[in-house]
Amino acid sequence: MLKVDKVNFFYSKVQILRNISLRVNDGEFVSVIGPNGHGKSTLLKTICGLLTPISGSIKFENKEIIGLPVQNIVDMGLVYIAEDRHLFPEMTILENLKMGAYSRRARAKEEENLEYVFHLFPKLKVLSKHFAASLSGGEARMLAIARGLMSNPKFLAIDEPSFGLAPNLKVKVFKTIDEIKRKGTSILLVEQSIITSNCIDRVYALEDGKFVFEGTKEDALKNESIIKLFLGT
Amino acid sequence: MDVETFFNLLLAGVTLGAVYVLMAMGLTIVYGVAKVFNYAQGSFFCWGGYFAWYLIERFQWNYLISILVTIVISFFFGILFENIIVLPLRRFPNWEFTVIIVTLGCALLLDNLILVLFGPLSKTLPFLMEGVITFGNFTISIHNMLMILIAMAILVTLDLFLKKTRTGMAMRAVSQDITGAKIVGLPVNRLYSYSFGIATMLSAMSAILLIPRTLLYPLVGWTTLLKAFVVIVLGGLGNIKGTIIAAIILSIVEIFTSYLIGGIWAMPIFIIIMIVILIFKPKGLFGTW
Amino acid sequence: MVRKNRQIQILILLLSLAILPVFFYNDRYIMNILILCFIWSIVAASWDLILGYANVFSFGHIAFFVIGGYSSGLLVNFLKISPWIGILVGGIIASMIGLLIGLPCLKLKGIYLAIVTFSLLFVLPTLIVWAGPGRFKNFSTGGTYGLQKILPPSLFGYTFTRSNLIPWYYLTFVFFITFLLIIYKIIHSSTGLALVALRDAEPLAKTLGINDYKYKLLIFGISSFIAGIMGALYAHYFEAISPANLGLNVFLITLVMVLFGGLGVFPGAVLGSFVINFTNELLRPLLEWRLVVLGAIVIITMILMPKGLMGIPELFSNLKYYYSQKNRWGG
Repeated sequence: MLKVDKVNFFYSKVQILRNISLRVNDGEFVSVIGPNGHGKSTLLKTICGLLTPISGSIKFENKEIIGLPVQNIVDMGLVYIAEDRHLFPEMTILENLKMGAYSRRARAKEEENLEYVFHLFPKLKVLSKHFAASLSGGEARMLAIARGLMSNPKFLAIDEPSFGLAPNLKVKVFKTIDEIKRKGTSILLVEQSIITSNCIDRVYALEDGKFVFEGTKEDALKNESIIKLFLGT
Repeated sequence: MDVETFFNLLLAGVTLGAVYVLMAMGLTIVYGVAKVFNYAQGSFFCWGGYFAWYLIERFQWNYLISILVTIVISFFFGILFENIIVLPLRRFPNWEFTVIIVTLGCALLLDNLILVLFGPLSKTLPFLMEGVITFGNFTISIHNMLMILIAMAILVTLDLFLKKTRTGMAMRAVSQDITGAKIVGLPVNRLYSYSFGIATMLSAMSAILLIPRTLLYPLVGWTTLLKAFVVIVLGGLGNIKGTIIAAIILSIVEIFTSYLIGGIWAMPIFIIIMIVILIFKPKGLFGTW
Repeated sequence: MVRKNRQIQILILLLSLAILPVFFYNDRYIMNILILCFIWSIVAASWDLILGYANVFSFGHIAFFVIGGYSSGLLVNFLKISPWIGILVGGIIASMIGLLIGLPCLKLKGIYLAIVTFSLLFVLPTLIVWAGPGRFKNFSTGGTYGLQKILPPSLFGYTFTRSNLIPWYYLTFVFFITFLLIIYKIIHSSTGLALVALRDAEPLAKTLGINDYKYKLLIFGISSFIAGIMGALYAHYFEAISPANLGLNVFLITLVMVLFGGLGVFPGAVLGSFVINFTNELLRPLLEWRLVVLGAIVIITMILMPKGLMGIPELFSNLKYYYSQKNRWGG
């Protein structure tokens, strides 16, 4: 479904992504792990269209998406959920969710998705009239994921959804992501460590802007250098 | 000063404030959504007036039709402006500053174009409706009353648009978090254009309301623009309630100043007020920015 | 090695400027433009100090120019002091007013500062016209028509009038070189370095203890001083100064000079001044269309060369940017 091929990205004169190639097949749950500052967020931002790489190709459902405006990519079904969440602070939860369903495709399924989202995150339904600015960290994360789901995605690119959350919330977030995956959405997850979810199909390890490992989750757990570098927390 | 004069001045102040609010709204919307501080807004105001004048003088059209045509055209002009002039600039780093200079250049171009096309002599725009209404001892010109009513109607419509319609909400979203707006798939470029279209429409409407009272001359946009600037500084860019309050207070100050010591002192007094308030509250009276 | 080359190039340039009058002494038109180029170069360069180096959105720079002009003109005409002292005092008054305004305003956020300083350009004419003919018994600013018949300076018995432009040429040339050197020194002083640090990496600079407000105020005072001096020089050259000098046109044209050469790039403003002044003159045949065309030039220049003339190599890649947009309409 998503094919990234030899992508390079520079920020000013500094190279952040070096010759990155990755694949996510239909329905797969792929995780990219790596220490902070090595390009994980940049990778996702490049895939979703917020940043433009200097070379390489990114194909979503066999269509080249480099250079397309973000909204077109969202319309195609590729939705990015940012680590910084980027919620609309002076709008209510409900309004934030409605904004998620702006594209025509998503608008058609708005009622359905709203119900699904409230089922996944019942707390959001309770707080639906509250302003996004008043939410706690965990609630904001939930809203970010929920809002992404409102865009009716075929593919979710999620950036460190559990960062800074209390352990029980982390577990909840990953259980929710698992459930989303089980419904058929492909997922590309970026995290600092592997110990996140059971449904992960494949893992890429990113160090210094390059992939240093690619394989199944079992392979990763058996690999000594990966364990040393990435496991923990 | 007798009660009657006082109320007349107060009314003149409030009606003037209505115009300043509209201009300030235009500036705020464009700044909030498109992130552009549009120094050419005064020239848009001016052009709104001259365009309407031209339709009436040259083509002898009915005033109402001229107004409607002017307003519609101003909307499209705003959209064109954003697309042709601002959008190409967004690609560059530090574009916010570049855009300010470009809007100033546009102001120079537009102002002098008016001079070239219409000459330096003042012109007039007719009142929306001639005549006065009398309530007991008080007389109000119908035009002034219409000014308040129309301005209020515009503000209410704008509010409903921003709060209840999908496009309006999208514009608010863009003004609150542009990255968030992009990742939920909002058509940001289109929304930028709409914000410019709406702002230009607001300036044209302000012009049509105010100019019958003040005469039409090539630099008429600048005085109004500057006062709108002061309103924004005091009311806080983006703060709607603050802007309305600031506009009413400032315009009342202006009217009473004009009456008591002369019109030319209005601007200096504005500046002094502005500087004094900014000393104590660097973010404006209500500013959130 | 490069330094030496540079220095030699600059020396040659200055020498050629110094001997220009030999060729053009008969052509008053060109001499006048060159004199104006010198004066505006320094005004633009001092504006670049505050705008490009100190990163302060001051839009009121021209106001200090005019304040300097009026101060000197009024003092010389009414108190009969020497124009040389008048010029100096003009600069001092301009810088004092600059500090007065800077004290509260430099704390403001960019947009607000731009608004406040911009309004100076509109408030000043009001005050000047108010203090015009008839208001006071022995004193007048000349009102809308401006202050006329300002006495020109004299040196060793010779009075610098406009009948002979060669002495004026060299006089302004001396001012030009002097202040260019002063500005250069400021940029390369510890203050200048602090400002560049603030401009390019503000959070880091602040943690190092650099107080941006203090430095900005200092530069604000200095640049207003320089602008005031040039304004006074200008006033004595034309033997007149008027509120028209505060017009939007002057403001924009000067701003373009600063931007054209590149913001925050040292001699850029000088280059910008020469180019713009000559362009402005070339456009005179267009009469009332001149400013329309100038506005168009401003727009096009900023779109194609947002970094000024120093960005000409980028011009070509910018053209590619401009034409190859795929993202025109959001959808």
